[in-house]
Amino acid sequence: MELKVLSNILKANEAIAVENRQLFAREKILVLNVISSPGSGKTSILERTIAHLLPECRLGVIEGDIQTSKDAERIHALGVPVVQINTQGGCHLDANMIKMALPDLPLKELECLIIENVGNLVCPADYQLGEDMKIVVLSVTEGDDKPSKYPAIFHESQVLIINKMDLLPFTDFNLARAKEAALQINPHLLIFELSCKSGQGVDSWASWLKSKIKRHRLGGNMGQ
Amino acid sequence: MHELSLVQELIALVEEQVKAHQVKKVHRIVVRIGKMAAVVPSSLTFCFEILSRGSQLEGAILEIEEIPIRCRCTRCQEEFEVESFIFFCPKCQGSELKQLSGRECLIHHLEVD
Repeated sequence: MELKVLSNILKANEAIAVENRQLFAREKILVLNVISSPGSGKTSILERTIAHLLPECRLGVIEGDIQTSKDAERIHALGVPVVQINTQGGCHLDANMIKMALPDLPLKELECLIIENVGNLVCPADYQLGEDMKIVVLSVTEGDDKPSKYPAIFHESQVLIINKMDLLPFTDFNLARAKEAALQINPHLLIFELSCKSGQGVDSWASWLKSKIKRHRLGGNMGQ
Repeated sequence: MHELSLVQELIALVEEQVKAHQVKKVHRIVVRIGKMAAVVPSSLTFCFEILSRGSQLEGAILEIEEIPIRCRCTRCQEEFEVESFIFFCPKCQGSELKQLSGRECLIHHLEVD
């Protein structure tokens, strides 16, 4: 006999993601889920972004790592509330981990929560956390074929940050090809070119984010 | 990479069904996985074999149907299958697409006694 089930295997995660999203919406907090492969410079981008947005914006950070609290210590040094989640081998953050971390953040005081996911371009694409948008980071030392190799995350993200632009002359990375590939997968992707070393592009990225945070606060539209 | 945790969820969901419908034996579990889901079918079956050992589900066949990515163009209403992850309408080159399938990660049905 055939028994129809039609049950989403990820439904437990998605139910909690919906709860998180409702809570963030109530508190008018813009939530970013930052995803990349290991070593692309997520934490450095966060440091640069935070330095640019403080003191105007009230920020909080959740750091996801397999082990250690090194990234959280870097963020803490900037005077921003931060919670470290160690996944103990897990390859992604899930909605429940975020839910458990929230009581340790002063949500009432925040305008923007930045979640730095575990360095991995595959699994985080499948796990909603309750975020407003995903930011995918690609560094020029990783090769311009990353979007075509890991299409799901480029499709799911609203923003692509191409990082380590200062190293571009020393690599074979073809910037035009990388952008074209990313835009084929996601024609609506907004692309920022950054160097955390030189500061190139940080202004335009951080200013964009700042206006996004302010508009979110006012309950305005979420368009670009 | 997260197939193990997916299979844990899957087994829990199937066991719920087994209980609710007083199933004696599960022969086959048919799941549908979209091509955009970050799931490797062979890892899923491998994890299922390991995790179902010694349980009521041991010996059941985990059948995976891969679902293609299909979209509808909101401009010209063309429906098409997305190949090579190129998200443009092949007819009018529009980019305002509604995704119809390809993200599934669900248990479709069970064959049981």
